[in-house]
Amino acid sequence: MDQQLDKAIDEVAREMTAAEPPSALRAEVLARIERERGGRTGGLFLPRWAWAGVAAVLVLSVTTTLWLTRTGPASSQQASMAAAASSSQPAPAQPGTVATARAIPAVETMIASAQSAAWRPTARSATEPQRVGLPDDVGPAPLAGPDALDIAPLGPAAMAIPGLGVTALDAIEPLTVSTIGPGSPEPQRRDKS
Amino acid sequence: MSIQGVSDPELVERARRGDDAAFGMLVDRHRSAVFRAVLAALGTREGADEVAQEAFVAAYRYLRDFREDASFKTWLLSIAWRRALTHRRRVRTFVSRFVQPPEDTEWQIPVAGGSQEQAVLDTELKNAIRRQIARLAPKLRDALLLAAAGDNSYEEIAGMLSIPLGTLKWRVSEARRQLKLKLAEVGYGQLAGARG
Repeated sequence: MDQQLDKAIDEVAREMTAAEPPSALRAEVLARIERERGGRTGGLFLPRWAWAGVAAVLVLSVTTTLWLTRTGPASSQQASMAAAASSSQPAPAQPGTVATARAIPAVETMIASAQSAAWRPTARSATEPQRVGLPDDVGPAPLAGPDALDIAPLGPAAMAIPGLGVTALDAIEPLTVSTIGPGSPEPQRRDKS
Repeated sequence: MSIQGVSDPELVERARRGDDAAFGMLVDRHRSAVFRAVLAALGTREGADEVAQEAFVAAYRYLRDFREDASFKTWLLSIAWRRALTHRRRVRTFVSRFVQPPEDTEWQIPVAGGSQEQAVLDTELKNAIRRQIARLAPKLRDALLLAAAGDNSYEEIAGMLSIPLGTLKWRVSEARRQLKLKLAEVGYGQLAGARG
């Protein structure tokens, strides 16, 4: 019975692995290899770490481009406007002061410099040259335009440094030291008895 | 140029140089051994087919890393075996999350030929043996099935499983002993010798 059981175990175990592989195994393996090879040579083959680097560079360049597109022209316009304002005004305007008709030439300069900087004009700035072109006897121009004059100067504010307050020293009386020689009286002892 | 009588190392060398026909010949030579080994680990034809293909593709990919320390067959079988074990773990994890398969249908037994000797064997006994083999510890079951498949020598199986030859023999013997014990518990034969 034991031998019969061994025989049965062998037979069942053999049956469990007795299947033949599919006849198309070779063709499918070679097709997979061909696909894999085509995938590598057909496209740009780079290791994974290189793809990560490429992706990081792409994201960085797109972010930088967007940032420059948004902030670049505006900052150059601000700089040109500040330069124009400083050249036309003898003294910096105090914040909160009312702009006068005297500031209109500064507005002209600012608009011209903004247009020369290839900045796309807004609807508001496009209307300003018409107002500036009015004859002199019309009187003061309306005060709607020169918002830029309200910009505080960009220079650093003056620092208020308190004085150090060093008190003068009292005059020290000169010390008189008598010379000691033979016959001089002995110094008085300070014994605490 | 014919490659029918060319040895494995020669075919490997040609495949390394980009000769796909040489690698195809290697596939033809070893596909049965690879397929049955994977089938021993997985128990399903579909899974074995897929994993066997993966193993051959992986072998092609790492062909330059193959050293002549072992035979190409052993190297190929070890790749296939590792892939099969990975697949088995993945499938078990996935299946255990959703369903609890009945043990009797875990193995898809191929339809055996109707020889006279098989006809003598009791069908019920064979079913009981299948059930008990399926319930063996994986290490014992793998060793038993690979040894019984007959495609590979014990040395090749030990190399494939990365275990010493003595360990492999012990596992096969232990698998038989445990099977006989279990079969005796369900009433098949006087198995005093198997209890030792």
